[in-house]
Amino acid sequence: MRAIWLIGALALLSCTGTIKGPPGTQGGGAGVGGGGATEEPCVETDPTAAPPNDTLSPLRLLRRTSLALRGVPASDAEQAALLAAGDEAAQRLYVEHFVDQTLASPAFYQTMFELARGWFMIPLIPNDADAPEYAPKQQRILEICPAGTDNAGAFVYYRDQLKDCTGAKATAMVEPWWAPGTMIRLVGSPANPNDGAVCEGRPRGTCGCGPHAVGCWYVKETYPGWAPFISFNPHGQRRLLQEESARLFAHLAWYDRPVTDLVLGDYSVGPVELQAALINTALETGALQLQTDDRWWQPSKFAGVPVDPLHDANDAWAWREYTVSERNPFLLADRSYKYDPRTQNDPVKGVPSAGVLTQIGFMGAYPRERVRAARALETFACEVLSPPNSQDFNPYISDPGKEGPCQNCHRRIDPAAIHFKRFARDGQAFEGWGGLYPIAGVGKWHWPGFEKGMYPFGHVPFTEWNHWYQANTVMTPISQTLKAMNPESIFIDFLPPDQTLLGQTSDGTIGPLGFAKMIVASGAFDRCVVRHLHQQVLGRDIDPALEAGYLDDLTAKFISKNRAIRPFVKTLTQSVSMGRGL
Amino acid sequence: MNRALVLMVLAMACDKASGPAPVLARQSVCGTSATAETKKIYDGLKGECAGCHVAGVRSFFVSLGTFQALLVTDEKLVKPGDPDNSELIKLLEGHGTGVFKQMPIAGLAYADRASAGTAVNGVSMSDVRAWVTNLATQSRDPRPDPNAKVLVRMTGQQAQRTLYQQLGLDNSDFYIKAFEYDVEMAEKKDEDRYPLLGPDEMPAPRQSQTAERFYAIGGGSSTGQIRADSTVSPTYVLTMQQTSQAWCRFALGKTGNTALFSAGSMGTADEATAKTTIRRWGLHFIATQLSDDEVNALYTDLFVPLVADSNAGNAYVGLCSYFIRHPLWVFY
Repeated sequence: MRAIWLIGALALLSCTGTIKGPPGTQGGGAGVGGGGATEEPCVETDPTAAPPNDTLSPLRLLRRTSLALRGVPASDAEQAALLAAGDEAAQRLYVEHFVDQTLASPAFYQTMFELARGWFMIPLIPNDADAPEYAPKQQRILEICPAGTDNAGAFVYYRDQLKDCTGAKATAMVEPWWAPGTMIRLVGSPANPNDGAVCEGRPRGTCGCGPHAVGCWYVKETYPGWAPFISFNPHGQRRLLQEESARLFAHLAWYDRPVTDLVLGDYSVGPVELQAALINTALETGALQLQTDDRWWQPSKFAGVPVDPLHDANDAWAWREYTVSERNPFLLADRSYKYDPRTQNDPVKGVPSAGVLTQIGFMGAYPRERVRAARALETFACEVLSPPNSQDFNPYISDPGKEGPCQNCHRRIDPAAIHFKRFARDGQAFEGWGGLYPIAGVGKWHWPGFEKGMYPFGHVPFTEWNHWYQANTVMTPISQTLKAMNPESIFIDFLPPDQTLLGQTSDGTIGPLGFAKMIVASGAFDRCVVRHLHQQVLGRDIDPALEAGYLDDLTAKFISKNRAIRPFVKTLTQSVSMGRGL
Repeated sequence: MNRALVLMVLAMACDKASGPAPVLARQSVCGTSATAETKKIYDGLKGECAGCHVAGVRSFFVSLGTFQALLVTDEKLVKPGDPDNSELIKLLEGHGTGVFKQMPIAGLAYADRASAGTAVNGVSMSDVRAWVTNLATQSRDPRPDPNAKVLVRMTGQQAQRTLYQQLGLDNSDFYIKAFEYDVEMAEKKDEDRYPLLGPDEMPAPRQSQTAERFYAIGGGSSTGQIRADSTVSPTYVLTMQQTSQAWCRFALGKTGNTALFSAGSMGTADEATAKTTIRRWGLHFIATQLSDDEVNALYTDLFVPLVADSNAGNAYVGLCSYFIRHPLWVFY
C-alpha cells in the first residue's frame, strides 16, 4: 500500500506543476519527445535551477504518443517491438517511426475527426416542428406499391398509395440518384413533369420527381421520413450534415491541405446523401440545370476523387471531396465577389462558398447571423465573449453594436455577424418535411413588401429582419433613405472600410468568406488551430496570456509548414514537452 | 478505498494545476522583462481596465506578466518609441482605429478620466506616453510556461477504448443488437456489467445509463452538446472504481480471453504465477517495467491479502483494477 501512496504523491508533484527548470527547445528537437534536441535558443541564467527530472521512458513515451495520435495506448506487440529494438536510443527511434506510421494510418484520420467534432461542437440541425420535420431534406418521400395492387413494385409518393397504386396512371422509368445502374418505375404524381411555372423543377403538389428522381428519395424503412432525421443513424442526412465540418478538417489533415481551406475553400466532403441536400437547396433557389447534373451521384463521374481512408473510393457513403459551387451555384466559386447594395442595383449573384462557414450543417444549426458570428469567432478565432464586470455604458437605444452593456461583446460580434445575414430558414417546405433555406436577395429569393411585416411576412425570418436589420447600425450600415428605396439593401453583408474586425479591414468580399479572410489575415485563425492541435497532442491548451511568445513561435512553425496538420503534429511530438511526464 | 483517496487527492491537485498560473511577472532572458516603469503603468491603468481584460486573448490585466507578455510586446498595440502610432495610446485618448474607438469603451476615454482625476488609481497620459517613448524594443519568450501542467488525464473516450483493448472486451460483451426506426443500436445486456459507451459511437447506446456513465468519466458528445472534461472529478474516480472492478471481473471470466492471461484462462494464485502476472500487467496496463522490489511489494501488500480474504479470482480482480486506477494508467 505504501507503493500506492508513493506513486500517488509522485503524480501529485508532477501534475501540480512544481517541476522547475527550463523546458528547453520546443518543436525543434530531433526525435519524439525532444530526444536528441540540441537547439537551445533560450537559456535560464539561474544556476540553481534544477533540471526537470521527468523525462519519459521510451515505453511511456510510446504510450503517450499512441494515446495522443490514435486514442488508445500502444498494444502489447508494439511495446514488445520497442523493447526488442535495442538500447534507449534505438527505442526512441522506434517511437519516431511509430509516429510516422500512425500519422499515415486511418486511425489518425479518425482522431482528427473526433478532435474537430469536439472542438467545433456544432449541434444537430433542430427539427422544424414535430420530428422528423427537419429542413435540409428538401426531397419528397417515395414508397413502393404493395403486392396485389395494380402498380405493385412501382414508386409513388408517401401517403399517395391509395391514389396511385391502383388504376392506370402516368408512368416514367428513371435511373434514380440513390441507386445508380438500376431503373425504377414511377407512377402517378411522381411520374408527372415538374418543369414550368407551377412546378419550377420541384415535386410540389402533383408535380413529379424530375430527372433521375432528384427531387425525391427512397429508403426502405418502417416509419417513412425518419431515416434522414434520427441522430443515431450513421447514414442519416442530419447527422452527416452535423459531421461535415469535422470530416472536412480530418480530410484536410489526411491530404496535407492548408487548414485555412476549412474556412476559405470552395470544397468540402460528403457522401451522396449529404450532397443531395445542397443540390435540392440549389434547385429550390432556381438552379434547374442541376436536375440533369449527375456528377454527385453517378460513380463513373466521381471516380478518383479524394475520399476518406475509411471507405472505398466508389462507396456512396465515402466522405468524398466535392466542389461546393458545383453543387450549389449560388455559393459562388469567385473568391473575391463583391456586392454593395448601396451602389449596385443589379441582383446579387450569390454568396461565395467558405468551407465550414457556408455548410448547411453550420448555417442550419445556428439559425441567425449573430449566433453564427459568435460561434464562428469562438470556434475559429478562439475569441472569448464574456460579459464586462462593471462599467457605466451609454444608454441602449437600438444598436447593441455600439450602445448599452451588450456592446462589450457586440462590438466584435456585429462586425462579424454582418457577413452571415443572407442565410435564412423559412418555415415549412411544400410537404411539411423540412423548410426552405433562402439566401436573401439571391436567385428567386425576393419578397416584395416583406419590409412592411404584413401577411404573409409575419413570421421568421421576416420578423427578425424587420426587427434587427435597422439602418445606421453596425450590422446594417445603410441609410434610412436607402432602406426605404431598396428594402433588400438591409442584407448588406460586407464590412465597410470604416469598420474593422480583429484589427482587419475587409477587401469587400461579401458573406462568410469575407469574415473568413479577416480572421485568417489577423492571425487569429492560425493561432486558434495551433492551440487546438496542441491540446490534442500535448494534452493542454496554450495559455494565450502566459505563453504569448510560445504561441507565436508555434504558429510561425505551423505557417512555415504550409498549415498542413501532419507535419506540424510531428513537430509537436518532437517537442521537449512531449517527452515530459510520469 | 485508499486507492480512491489517492485519486481524489490527485483530482484536487490536478484541477488546481490546470487553472490560472500564479500571478507573477515571469522574468526570463528569452523575453523582455517588465521594467519598474512598466509596472508603474500597469498599476496605473489596472483600475480602469482590469474589469474586462482578465479573460481570453486580451487578458492584459490578469497580472504584470500578462500585461508584459500580451500588451507591451505586441507592436500592434505598443510601438516602442512611437506613442503617436501606438494603438494603446489612441484607444486611451479616444481615437482608436479598430473596432473600439476608446478605452474604456463607454463614458469618458481614459485620458479624459485621468485629466479629470476620476481614473481609479490612474496614471497620467503624459506618463503613459513617456513610457512608450522610452520603451526599449520588446520580445516575447518563445518557450512554454514552465509551470504548465505536464500530465494529461485520459479522456472518457480514451479510457473506454483503452479498457476494451487492454481487457480484451468489445461491444458484443455488453450489448446485443436492437433496432430503433430500423437503425441498429446497442442494447445493453445487463446493467451489472456497467456498460459504458459514448452516445456518438455507432451503434449508439440505447439506454441512457450507458451514456451517463460515459459522461461521468468526462466523455463528451457533440450530439448531446456536452464538452469532454478531463479533470479528475470525484464522479470520475467513483465511476472508474466501479467500472474497473466490474470489467476486470468480467474480462477474467471471459472464456478464451487472452488479453490478461495468454492461456485464455485465469492463472492460479501461486507466487510464481502471481508475480509473473504482476510483471506482465505492469507493462500491459501502465507501460512500465516493474522492478523486482515493486513486484514483490504488490504481491505482498495487495495480492496476498486479497487471496487470504477471499480467493484467487478476487485477488486478480483487485490487481487488475489496481492497475486501471493507477496514476500511470489515468495520466499520460
